[in-house]
Amino acid sequence: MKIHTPHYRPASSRREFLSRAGAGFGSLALTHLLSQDNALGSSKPTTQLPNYFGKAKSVIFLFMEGGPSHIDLFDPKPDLNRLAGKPLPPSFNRPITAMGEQDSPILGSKRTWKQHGEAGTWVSDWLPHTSTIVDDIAVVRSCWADGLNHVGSVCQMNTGSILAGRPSLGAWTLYGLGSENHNLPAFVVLTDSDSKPFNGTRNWGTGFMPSTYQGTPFKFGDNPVADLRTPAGISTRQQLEKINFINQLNRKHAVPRAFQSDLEARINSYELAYKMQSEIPEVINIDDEPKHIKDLYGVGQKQTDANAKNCILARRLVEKGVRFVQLFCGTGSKWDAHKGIEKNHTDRCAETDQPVTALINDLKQRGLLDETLVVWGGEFGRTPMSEKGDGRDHNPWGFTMWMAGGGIKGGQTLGTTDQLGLYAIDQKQHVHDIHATILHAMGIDHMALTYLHNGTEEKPTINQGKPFEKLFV
Amino acid sequence: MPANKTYLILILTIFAGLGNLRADKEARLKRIDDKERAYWFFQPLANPSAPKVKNTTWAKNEIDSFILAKLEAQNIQPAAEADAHTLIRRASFDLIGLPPNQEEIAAFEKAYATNPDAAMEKLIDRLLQSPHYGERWGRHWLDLVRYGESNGYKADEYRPHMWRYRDWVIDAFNADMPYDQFTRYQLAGDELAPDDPAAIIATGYLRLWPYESNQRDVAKQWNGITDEITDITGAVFMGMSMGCAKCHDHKFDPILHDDYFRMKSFFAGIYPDDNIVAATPEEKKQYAAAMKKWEVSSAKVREQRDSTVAKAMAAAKEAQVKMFHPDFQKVYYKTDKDCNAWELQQKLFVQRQVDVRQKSVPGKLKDEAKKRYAELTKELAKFDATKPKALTPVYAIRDAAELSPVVFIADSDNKEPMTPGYLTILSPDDAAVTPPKNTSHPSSGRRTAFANWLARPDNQLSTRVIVNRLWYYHFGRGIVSSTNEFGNQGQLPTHPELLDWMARNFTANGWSLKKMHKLILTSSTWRQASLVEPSAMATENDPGNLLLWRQQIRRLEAESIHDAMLASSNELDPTMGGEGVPESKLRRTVYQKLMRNPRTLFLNTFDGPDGFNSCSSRDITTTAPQALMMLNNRFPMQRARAIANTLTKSKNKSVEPLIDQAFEKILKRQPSSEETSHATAFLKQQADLVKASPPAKIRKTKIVPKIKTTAFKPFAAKETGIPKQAVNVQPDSLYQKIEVKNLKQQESDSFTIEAILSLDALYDDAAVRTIASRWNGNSSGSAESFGWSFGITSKKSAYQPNNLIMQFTAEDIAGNPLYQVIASDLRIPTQTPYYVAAVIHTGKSGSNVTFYAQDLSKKNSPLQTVIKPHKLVGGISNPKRALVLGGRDQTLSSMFDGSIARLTLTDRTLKAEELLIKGAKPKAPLSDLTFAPPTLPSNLLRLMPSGPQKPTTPVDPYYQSVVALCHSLLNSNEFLYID
Repeated sequence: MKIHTPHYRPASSRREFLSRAGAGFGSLALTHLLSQDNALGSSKPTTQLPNYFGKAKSVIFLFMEGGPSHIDLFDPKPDLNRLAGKPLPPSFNRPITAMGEQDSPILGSKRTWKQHGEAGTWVSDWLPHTSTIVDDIAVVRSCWADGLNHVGSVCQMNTGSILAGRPSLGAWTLYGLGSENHNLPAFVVLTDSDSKPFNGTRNWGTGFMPSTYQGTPFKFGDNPVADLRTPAGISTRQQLEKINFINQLNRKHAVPRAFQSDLEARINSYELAYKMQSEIPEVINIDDEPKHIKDLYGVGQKQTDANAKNCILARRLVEKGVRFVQLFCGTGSKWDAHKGIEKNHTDRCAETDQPVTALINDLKQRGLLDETLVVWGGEFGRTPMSEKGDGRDHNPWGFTMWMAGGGIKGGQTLGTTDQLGLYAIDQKQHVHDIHATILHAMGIDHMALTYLHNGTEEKPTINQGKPFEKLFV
Repeated sequence: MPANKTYLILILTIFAGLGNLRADKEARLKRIDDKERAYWFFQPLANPSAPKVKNTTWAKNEIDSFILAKLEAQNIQPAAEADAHTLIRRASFDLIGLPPNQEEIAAFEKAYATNPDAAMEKLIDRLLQSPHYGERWGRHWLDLVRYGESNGYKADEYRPHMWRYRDWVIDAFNADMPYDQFTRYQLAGDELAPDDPAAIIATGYLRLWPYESNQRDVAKQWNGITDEITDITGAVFMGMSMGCAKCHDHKFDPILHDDYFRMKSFFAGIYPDDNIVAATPEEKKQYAAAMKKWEVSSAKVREQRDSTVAKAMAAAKEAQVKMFHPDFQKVYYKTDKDCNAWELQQKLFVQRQVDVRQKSVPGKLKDEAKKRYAELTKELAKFDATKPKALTPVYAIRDAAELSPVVFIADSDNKEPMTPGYLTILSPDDAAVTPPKNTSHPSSGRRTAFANWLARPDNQLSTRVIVNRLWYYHFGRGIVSSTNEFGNQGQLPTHPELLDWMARNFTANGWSLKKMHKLILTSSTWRQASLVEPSAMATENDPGNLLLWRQQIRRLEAESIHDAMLASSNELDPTMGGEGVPESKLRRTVYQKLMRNPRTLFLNTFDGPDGFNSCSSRDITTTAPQALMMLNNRFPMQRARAIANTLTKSKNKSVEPLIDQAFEKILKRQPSSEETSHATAFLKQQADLVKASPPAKIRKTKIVPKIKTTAFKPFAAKETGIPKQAVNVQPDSLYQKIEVKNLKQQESDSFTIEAILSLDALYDDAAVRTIASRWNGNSSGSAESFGWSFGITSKKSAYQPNNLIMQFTAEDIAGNPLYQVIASDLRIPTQTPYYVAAVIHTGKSGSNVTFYAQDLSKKNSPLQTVIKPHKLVGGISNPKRALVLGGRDQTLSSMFDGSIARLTLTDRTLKAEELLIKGAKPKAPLSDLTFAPPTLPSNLLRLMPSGPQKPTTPVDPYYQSVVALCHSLLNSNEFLYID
């Protein structure tokens, strides 16, 4: 069942009573409420989403938390090694750096670089698996962001703003498109360790929007979602009978209050909750995957195990119609190589390269890649200048992300940074542009998707940005 | 965007024939067209009299006349009055956020039957006088001002004194502080009443912005903070979203780009000084005198101590300052007297980061220096007796200087400084600002000017906004339904004349909120029933009930759901005020510690505010996770058990009185006969299900300790000292915590604790599986919180899982309170019988803990030993705390989950050969507990089941079924909604 609930401007007059007909985790589609709303004549007209563009039904955002070094992975800079040990040439505008090592010399890159695939995409030897799928991915080397440190930058990559309080991109997507499976959360968050990502739940929060649209973290194990399990000592049958009794009370209560539609919604929510108690454990049970699939992703290998499981689960969720899956790879800022970038990135790449590649291949072989947009990237890149001798500082002025599937034309490399990879210079893509691009792939015009909050028509990209059209087929 | 905006200003200024880019007053006024000028919200308050109505009996006051006139014009009849039961429930939740109890309902119903109006009046008066009123209405205010008790951002540091502002708000509501004063105090209490500690606390309003503690770009940070204050203040006090005007003239409202920065100028000079205290001049004087004495007497020791760290402190400072851009470094090294206000502000934020860095310096000292520092700290402590008690620290605001920093229009070529001023459309002139004379620090007087403008009775913005908020909270919809947005992007008022009449009435009655509440709640409009089918005319002309031909059904907010559950189970702790408490305390939600990042269970599930945005109306969502929480979370279940415990006390086992009581306690009414028969069938069905299929993992079935012998089987039997039987100590079981009573004497600060146990499971989070403790789990450092705890870490512990640890809150050598975790790094696996021990040695010459652990599942496992130092010298054995097995005193967090076979406490530091595991017989232990069926040794132990009430009957199918009934009623819509 596809319940398509297009974004609507909430009618403030009824807003307080409106049980949100949105798309979030187990929210209840009450489309008649919307029509009622208009019948009141009290609200502004419902904006229909234009049939804009976009093939993607789902997004899998592979978030490399901490900031991978673009100049050691996708954006080769021979001048780095030429200028290694020397200060930043005077022609460069000197930025305020996060750790404040103002005059550190350039750090050379120890990578071996090769062009791969038919397109000849440059990938370093840190990503041997990814280099086999370059013809499916589009590399964007000219991304930039506003934040200097993790808090602001992670917040911006997830919500558009370096300041807290705005809805996450996943929340906007749900608000705009609704869900295709109401027995599962439509926006799921997976982390590859017990560490918490910077900013925690705000990365998948809803800011000023109703909590209906928020992301739901899943965990492997007995209790994948908070309060999913019936309390110990209560049998399934007892629980079911209890729900029946509650709803018997509620139905009777609703009779003289038939005009109050959220009462009915609450009755449905109990039945839905009961269904989720069996549906969620089922979807997270990846043990039933065949061995060759597990091997493809790297399940059971020490370094890849966590991301392999998350990537398989991401695929399973997308298959079930989940709209937005956010994976944190290197959760808790583990890509943040202020020192010892060699060891740090060797480990991070080994943890993610195979699972991520397997995800693209698996989606492709199942025919899901066309309708699934996969986005790879961190909150920023890293500086050409060294830090603590053998590390690199944060670089929000120029960094690389890549996208695949969902209408993206693979085998391209777009945008450029300067000769050292410090600043993006050509076809610059701000975070707002990246978000506009992701929404575009989903068929959402980022300027038409609005949410009225305190009198302001809030938009996902804060009235800025535009889709990077060259990325698309 | 900036380019366009500059262009716009440019055009206008050229048009005005001026030589600079700044639009002056005339040019500004010209940017507002007649249509904008005619917008209703900017018109002065009208002075309407109550309209004439045809139905002369319905209206009880002017409010009703305004409402009825509109209804009559549409030929719609107002609804009849709700019944007494509905009225008292509605009024109670509206005014105090709690349900009435059965006695209150009975008394009201009786009075109402005789004289409805008198009964209503008396009810409203009683509720308005209840201190719970401030808790309820203060919370509304806290929503608006995005109250939170932490910094936000990644670190989300706790703000330990922020709660004083929360208490001030609650007190102000309870005291019915006139709203004009309430406004003035929050914006400029420091300038207006510098000697009134309450006025200082009130300025906490200006401290509620999120703060990023490691932001290096302090200029950007400051700009963001004053922007945010401008935005929030515009929304909260003026009902205007200012944000759009930050980048350009507001597209929809006559708020000019300049107006944003004129308004921002009022706040440009703020200085969030952390040394501000809430104290009277007399207290400050006494404190200063006493402090001076202490400083003189302790000067030498302090100098000596400081000299031991001076070098390291300087290095820390330098290293930290270096992290900032050279521009900020330069400012930082200027002396204060050479700094202007803007430089002082920058310096302050750099200094905060320096302070954090320096704070860790003493702890990092090594060898000689460390020893010397400790000695001198001890030496310094000798002067403590003469050191005055610190004055109450608060988060408050003052100005940096008399001259405020200059505000420019951001991202603009316009370099003309902005001067403080109000919205051009209302007051085009610059604000008249006079620096106050009597403040403790030089101050600009800007905020006073702004507060006085807001608090004028003829301010059509602030007065309409506040009465509309009252209306919103009483009807679930405002006269202007967009309560934070009265501009063009909001909704038009449904009853503009009523709004203005109320605004005037409000200011004429001394800006009293309580008088306005009473006026509204005694009106026929508010007293209407909600369960009314719309008439044909209503369906035709006003299907959305905008004209209020009936009351609105409303769902309770998160706080009321939580608090009403506790009220129903009679567990609500009515204590008011004080520092925020953990969720496990059974206090009202408003007193829960309110961190910004992790939100509490109820606020997170039931649409609580996010603490970053001004929340003027709560969302009402209906989601499956709400149902999951209500069905499966421990909190509602514990309330259901507490109610069931009371209900099953009665010897009378007939179900009907029990069902009556369950309905009365939870839904505040008698069940119908149909409901009784349904409930009877449900009870039987649930009991039968319990009997028929005993659940696989039931943990709460018997009154006798559940004996676990299997876990100890292979090896235990042969060894002396290891019992075959163990008590099951598990959360939610009857023996979830066991208090050890009647010790011969309390242990000293050096003692030995030994246990033989098997841990079933870790927590999923970082909570500790406590083996035994004398502690309440509080690490705040107050004397109340002193104590020790012996336990095992869980999955997300910073010390890694399965780590055997001691936790202490006690005194260090300087006499300062210190919380320390001593981790042994000995790993205690789950599902494995183990011997564990900790020998705590505490002394001024060096304190340590010796940990022991041995795997009892395998023969010949070695006894592992680790010695770890700790820094505490006294106060560990706190006489105020109980000795608890399997948990902590006064809290249900950090409980054991497994079985404990033996626990021995000895009041001295045992040598290795004296340990139980060596086969030694305990010599004169304070307590040596073993557990054999059928019951625990009652002379030593007190059982502490979940909730404060003990079940009087064994847990059985009947009890389970009663719990299920109570739990169902707590889950019902009738409980969650008010008519």
